[in-house]
Amino acid sequence: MSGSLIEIGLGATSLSLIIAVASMILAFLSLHRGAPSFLHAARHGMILIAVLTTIGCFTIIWSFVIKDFSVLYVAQNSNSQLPLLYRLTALWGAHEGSLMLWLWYLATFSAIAVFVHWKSHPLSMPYVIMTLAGLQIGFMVFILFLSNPFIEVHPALPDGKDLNPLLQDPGLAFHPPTLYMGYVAFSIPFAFAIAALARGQSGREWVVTTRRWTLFAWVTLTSGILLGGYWAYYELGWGGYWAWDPVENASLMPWLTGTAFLHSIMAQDQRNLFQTWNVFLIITTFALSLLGTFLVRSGVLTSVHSFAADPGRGAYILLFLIVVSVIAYGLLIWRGHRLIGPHKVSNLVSRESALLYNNLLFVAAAIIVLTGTLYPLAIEVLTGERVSVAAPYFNKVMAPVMLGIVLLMGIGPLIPWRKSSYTKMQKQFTIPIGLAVLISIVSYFLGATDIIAMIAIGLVGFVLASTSLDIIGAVKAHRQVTDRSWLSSLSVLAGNNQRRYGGFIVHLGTLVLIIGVIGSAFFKEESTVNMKPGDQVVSGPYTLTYKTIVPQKGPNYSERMAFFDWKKEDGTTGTLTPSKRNYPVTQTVTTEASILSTLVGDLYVVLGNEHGKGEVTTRVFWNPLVNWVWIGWMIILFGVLFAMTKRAPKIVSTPNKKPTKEVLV
Amino acid sequence: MRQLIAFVCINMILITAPVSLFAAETVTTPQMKVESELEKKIRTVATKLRCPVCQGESVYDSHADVAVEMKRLIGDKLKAGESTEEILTYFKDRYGNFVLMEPPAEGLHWVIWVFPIFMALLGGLFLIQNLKSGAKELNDTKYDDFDQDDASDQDNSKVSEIEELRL
Amino acid sequence: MTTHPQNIEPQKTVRWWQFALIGVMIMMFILFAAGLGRDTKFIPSPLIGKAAFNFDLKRLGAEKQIKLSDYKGKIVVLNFWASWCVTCREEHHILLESSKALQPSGKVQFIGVNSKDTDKAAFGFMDKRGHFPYPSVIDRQGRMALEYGVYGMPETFFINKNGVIAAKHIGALTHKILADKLKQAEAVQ
Repeated sequence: MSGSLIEIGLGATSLSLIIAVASMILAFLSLHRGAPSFLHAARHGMILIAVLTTIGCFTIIWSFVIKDFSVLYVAQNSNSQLPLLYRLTALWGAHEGSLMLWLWYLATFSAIAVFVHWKSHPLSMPYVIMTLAGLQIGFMVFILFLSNPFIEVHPALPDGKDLNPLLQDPGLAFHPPTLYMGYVAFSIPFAFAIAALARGQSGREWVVTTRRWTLFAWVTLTSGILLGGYWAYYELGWGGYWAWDPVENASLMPWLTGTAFLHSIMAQDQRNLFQTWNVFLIITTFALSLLGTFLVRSGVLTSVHSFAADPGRGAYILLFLIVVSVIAYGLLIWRGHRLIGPHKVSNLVSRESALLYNNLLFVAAAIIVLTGTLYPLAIEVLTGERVSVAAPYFNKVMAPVMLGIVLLMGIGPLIPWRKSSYTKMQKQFTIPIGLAVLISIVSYFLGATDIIAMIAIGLVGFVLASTSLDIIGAVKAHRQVTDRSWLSSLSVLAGNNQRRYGGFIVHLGTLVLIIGVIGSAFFKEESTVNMKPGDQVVSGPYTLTYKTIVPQKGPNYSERMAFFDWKKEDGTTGTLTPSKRNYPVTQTVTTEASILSTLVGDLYVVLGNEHGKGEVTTRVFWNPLVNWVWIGWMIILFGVLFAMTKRAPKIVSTPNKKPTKEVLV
Repeated sequence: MRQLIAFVCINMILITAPVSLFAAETVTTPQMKVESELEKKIRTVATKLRCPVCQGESVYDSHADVAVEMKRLIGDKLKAGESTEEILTYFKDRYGNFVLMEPPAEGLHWVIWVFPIFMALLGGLFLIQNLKSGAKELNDTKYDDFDQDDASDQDNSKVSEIEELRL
Repeated sequence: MTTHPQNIEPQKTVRWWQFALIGVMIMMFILFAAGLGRDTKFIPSPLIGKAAFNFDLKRLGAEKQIKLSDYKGKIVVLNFWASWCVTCREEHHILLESSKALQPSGKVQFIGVNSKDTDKAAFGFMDKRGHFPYPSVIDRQGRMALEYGVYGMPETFFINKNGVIAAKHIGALTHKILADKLKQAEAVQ
């Protein structure tokens, strides 16, 4: 019975490959003969593929649920003691299932995109379907011939192995699928970019459509990256959330170029600038998503996070990457000039030039991350030497770029298109600059001795001040006309210009996130001490007393758990219980940090080695403001939702209709 | 505040240290622990070294066996009076540049340190070029409609696909 | 297709960015292709060609010190092992067989380094799988392993007649690897 279930999954996936090939051919023919029925058939094909891959995914998940160890993938990544939640998330616990999840996302997004944009993009649709079907074929061939999750073993194994213990954690359970969703969602704007190049035209709805999908992909990728950071924070036990690990870098690169695109698309929307550049950014973002997969999956770069490394599969992903990039960049080189509009950025100080600087900085950041990540590989291939490029390098080199980006955040959205005058700038920015300098100086006396920290704090103050002054100014002006209250004025303004104010909210979230980063990076207190029962240690506003250490048993692990009592300066008390877990099936030891999380900061305790008689090496961190990183993320999520609730403008019949001015997102 | 707490702690240790020396044989009295100066030095050295069996983690942050032993050796070497540089060289001689968290700025590895600067220059050059030609366009342009809300509205590339289909 | 005069101007001119893009892409693809073919586990040791650290350690199971310099004039196969090391079990029989075959000639000497282990566990390991026909030294803390730049067990060093490290192998030995590395040790002065 169950054996046949997984066969259904295999059958459905195989069938979807045939349909994808057929859809691609039909879409191509519809272009050639102009027969709408062909394109309709291709559309049905895309929807059918989404259904079939859903069935494929479901059969694997169900095999995990019923503990069917005759399925090799299930046997390799779960066992009978594994809790249900982790049996469900085990779908993406290893290579084969992750790829299946990719395919499922791709098929679902493709179907949605084809369905939703069918009417508004009649001329682009054949190209969009061809591109998406092509990408699907690439993944299907990979899944069916090189990394098949549907393989059965007869007779069934008595029990499975275990899911990678690092993945047995709610944080990591949801980090990969969110990240993948972000990666895959970039395929839709990518398909529209290909269509634009093929048609030599990127019209008005192209801007709207690509922006919406990119925004969705961007916010998902952001969430995936931050979920990963959150997981690293409390699971890896070194008190930090971002290590500049190759896998993290791989996810950061498309994020950087995607962010650049979300900004520069405004210039195309408003001023008809940067058309080729925007297409380049979208192609690059998707190519970097694929590159990320290649780097993680091929074992070219090994990392804490990478689980399955297989050069044979690596070769296939590389081939796929080459095909996709050659076609996409080839089209760009061949036909990119057709998209170029008549205008250029003409003024040093204007919204469009600010966007240009923004793009340069984001792309520079992406190039830095790319070179830093690939440098060890390049050196090894060239000279045979092995070197490491890790956190210290990236922190040094990226800091100035990031500061530049924060500075622009406080200027770009507030200056007008085309040209700003000196007197206007002076009026706008004198107070914020003064405030920034003041905050920097004050922060020095509050203990910000690092020059980067001082500048960063000053810049955050600058952006907050200049943005609030701008919004206050707008509300004031609005009130003079309408005589409303402050709050209702603001809500009317925001409601009338959801993209601009959504953008402000996203910027605010980013600032909050940056505050968290500054706090936890520059004001962290860390101490490593050997503690005997009864010993105390001070960290931040807390005094920690070590009580005892005891053995405990979990569902599929055993652990040594230590008990620490904490007492705050104000008299509140509580207990922290860091532990070391031993997973016998996979023979791995994990360190479980115990965290007292507050808005002011986190008290973070990790165990080191034991020295007998209850003596244990203890690492205690005081991470100020670290929670603001996650709060910032929530605000970003809300801002994107706010911006996206604005309905896409209906197709206008008069080409002269003026689009809304001042749009941010 | 921090200094104050540290000051108090150090005093407490100074006061309790002789007591605990005597007490060590019978019963260990609870202590207020502060991180030792040695531990701080170990951190400065060990965060510059990469854990050889992990990826991207420093020796200090890693829980791996090798890293733990390396930390101990660093402590012993510091106690013996070796400098940070000497200890780093010791590990570099045995594990190669691989064991350093960032490549040293020497030999070929200058490349990765110079690259960001090179890129900044390139970006600047690109900006100047672009803005120059943009400014030229502004001077040469036949349009005088820059006071209008959006000059590019008449642009053909803004025509929607539906309209194009009807044309 | 387009009516704007400005739109025609940039057409068909090959621009610098097109060359740059093509160049970067080709370079990256070559890099990745080359990267796929390499052994990620292989890490070159800077110790090769340098004089081996002359250790002076207690012999496992005997009240005796062993120095590397005691074996000057012979090729020394220095094998780091531990009872808890799973991969060491794979190469155990190879070490037994080849040491029995090679040592009688007097040209080659095998030495084990029992690293981060207890004597009891080490003897338990050998009782179960066969005793080495050569001495092992005790490296209780793993300092000797750090001295030789060891990443993890097992690792084997090939030291030539003059006490210079000629070759190194990370991971389980095979007869072929052993023979190849011994040849290197003979060739390197």
